[in-house]
Amino acid sequence: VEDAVTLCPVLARNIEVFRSRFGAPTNADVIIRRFQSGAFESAIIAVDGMVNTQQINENILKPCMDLPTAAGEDEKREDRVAFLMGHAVSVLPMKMKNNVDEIVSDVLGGQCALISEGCGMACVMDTRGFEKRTIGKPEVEHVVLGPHESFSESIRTNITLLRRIVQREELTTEFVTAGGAMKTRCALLYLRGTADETMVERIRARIEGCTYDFALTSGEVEQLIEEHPLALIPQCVRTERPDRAASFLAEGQVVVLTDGSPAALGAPATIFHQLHTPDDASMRWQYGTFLRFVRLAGMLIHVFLPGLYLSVLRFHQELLSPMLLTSVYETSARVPIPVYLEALLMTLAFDLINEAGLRAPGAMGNALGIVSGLILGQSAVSADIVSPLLLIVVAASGLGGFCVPGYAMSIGLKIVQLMFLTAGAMGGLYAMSLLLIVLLCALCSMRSLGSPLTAPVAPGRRGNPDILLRLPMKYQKARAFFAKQSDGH
Amino acid sequence: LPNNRTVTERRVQESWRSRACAAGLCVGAQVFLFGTGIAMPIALNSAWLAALAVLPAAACLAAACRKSAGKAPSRAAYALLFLTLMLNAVFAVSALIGFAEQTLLEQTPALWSVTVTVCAVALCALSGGEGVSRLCFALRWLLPVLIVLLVFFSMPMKIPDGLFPLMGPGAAQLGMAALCMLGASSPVLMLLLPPPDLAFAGEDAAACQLPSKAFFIRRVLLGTGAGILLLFAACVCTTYESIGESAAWGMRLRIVASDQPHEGIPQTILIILQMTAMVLLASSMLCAAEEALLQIKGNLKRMRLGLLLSGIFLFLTLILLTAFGFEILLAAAPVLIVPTAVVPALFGKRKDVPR
Repeated sequence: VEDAVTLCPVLARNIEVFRSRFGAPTNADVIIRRFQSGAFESAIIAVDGMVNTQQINENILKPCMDLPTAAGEDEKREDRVAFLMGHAVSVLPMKMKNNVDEIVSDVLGGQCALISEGCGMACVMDTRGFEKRTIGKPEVEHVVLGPHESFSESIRTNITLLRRIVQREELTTEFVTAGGAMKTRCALLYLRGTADETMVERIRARIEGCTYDFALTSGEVEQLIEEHPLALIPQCVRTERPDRAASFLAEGQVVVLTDGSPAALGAPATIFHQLHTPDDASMRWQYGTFLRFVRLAGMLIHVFLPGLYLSVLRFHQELLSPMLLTSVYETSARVPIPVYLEALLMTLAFDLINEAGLRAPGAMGNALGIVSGLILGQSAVSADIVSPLLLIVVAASGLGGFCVPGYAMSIGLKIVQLMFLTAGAMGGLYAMSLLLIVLLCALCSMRSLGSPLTAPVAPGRRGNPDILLRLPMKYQKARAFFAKQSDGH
Repeated sequence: LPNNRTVTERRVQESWRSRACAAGLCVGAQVFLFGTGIAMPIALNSAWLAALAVLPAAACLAAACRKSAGKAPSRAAYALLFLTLMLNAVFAVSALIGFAEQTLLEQTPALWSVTVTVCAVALCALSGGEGVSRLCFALRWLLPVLIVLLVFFSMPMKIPDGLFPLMGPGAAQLGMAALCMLGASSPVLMLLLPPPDLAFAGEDAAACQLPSKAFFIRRVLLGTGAGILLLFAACVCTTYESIGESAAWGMRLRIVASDQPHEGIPQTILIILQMTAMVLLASSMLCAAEEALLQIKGNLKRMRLGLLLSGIFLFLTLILLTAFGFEILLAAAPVLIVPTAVVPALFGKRKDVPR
């Protein structure tokens, strides 16, 4: 019974197979309901709490049990389930299956299976009815203009949100499962004829080829898709906003939704996707472009300022005016620890405050930020543990870090910031320049699903004028370079 | 929908464009290094005139490489190409170290600057020729334009002093310097090797057209021209009388554009940009050398015995340099003209194979 691969025509044996697989009756969540349906017996298998019991009662059980006792008498035994589906059951999405593993997986996902005496097939019906969070506002991707709804944890709801925006017959949804022992349902959404099939195939193969026991969240699925696990920057673009995911689809990207995660992944992605926000497209092009430059400046300050401060102070004092230099040395002279250690501690303290504020519950998080920032900073300067100029440098750098649109990208840039800090302290501007070139070379050689991460800039590819400058809508005509092109180029 | 061939052809063209941009940038940087290292001691402030000889040489070499690209010569030809490219890499790394010691790392121990530089170049090369070429492509306008702007906006008063005498110490020395400079065109040889990212371009990439000969020549000449302009700036910034005093090569590499060189942020930016060009030259040469090595021994893993060998070779050379100084390298550099002339001829003799 335990090794059964397919259903057999004996109802009692099939029920025994499911009992064995689910551990019933010890496993109290599993419902196996046997009932008379016309001239033969049938059974329903479902998991309590995952299904809509009212729908099962009204649309499956009641109509089947109300059938006359002679109903289905003349039907072939192997067509009995099909007979019930045709004459009694009124549930819309359904599939006929006989593989036990697949049926068990479906039942665990909230569907119910109907089996009948004498028939070796089961009908799996979508009767999901578990509790889920309602559609809320985005938590991370705040916008001033544009829609204010975000994905939720239900994959079905998320697909619906996308379909409501992208009302095109080409929008295709494929379901794949990730993980070995504990399977997670993922949906691949793409526009047929726009997305490159090779990309779809690559994503499908990478998700289905997962050999780990589980990949539960979209973050884990992202790690299955990416090509450079050692890289510091993400290779898929993540969003919690349906409108942004819809724009990915229109561009020719494949969107991956993961059951249980309120985020969508867009792949292939370029480095420039990581720098854009949904607001850029909602605004007039001048405003969008200006804000992009502001964000870029913020990011540059975030990454380079602490390293520059250290390298100027330690190696290139000639770059500062004598007055400023005197002031810097006067304040630094009172600090008992080396300037590199001082900068490292302050940067880490900033990250600590940031992380604590993020994890602390609700209003406490805000209070924590203010208390840590004002009291600790002020006290550290008064106690001559840090110099005031360094405090300004770290604060400005931290502020710049908040301009980074993606959370994953911002963490990557924090690590890069520490690398530049160390390089600045050890080799001044020379080491910082070398590190920058090394990182740029690595970035230029990276790929996302086989497409260059730095395209369309290097290598040159055809694309919209929407990289740093965002030109007016009338120029935004081309599809992304990784999509299928429609005009022979 | 387009047929796949059109898309693939665009990708192939873009790969070669990146490669050609890298070659142009490398020749430009090498012209400056040869000019300051070899031509300046011979022709003094007319070294830039001697560098003009590189223009036709580089153009001819680019045309020859375009003609021979995708042909499979003997292993000896690849070995010669490998050695030529490695010598270029060593030359660039040595110049970089000398330059850093004279400018940004004056108080730093030599071993530290050598280690940091070699590690950085090896790490750049570790990302593969594809990454370095793409970076060169991305910087193809930005880098030369910034350098030229920074130089020329801060040095107008110095031009008359440094420009004359126009022929420097005389025609004979000028001719000798021009001959020695010809080896500076050797980075163009990297165009003999197919770009590594062609593997991703599609199945029918081998059948696609390469960019035209004119494109290759234009790219290389642009780079060479930028290098000559920079050398011109270095020559005119140092007067005829004082040029012999800057004995150290690293010292000559610095374009003393400002009256107060140590107090100028533009001067520091200029130095950083020059260094960027040198790092890109060294890592491009190292990557190309590794690709040549892979052509000799095709079963090497990509992660990469070739690079390891290159790294060891580079490190050994640098140890030699620290023992004997830059003079050996500067004396050996003019010899580069020999393989630069021989390698394309060896490549040209063989029949076509799929790229």
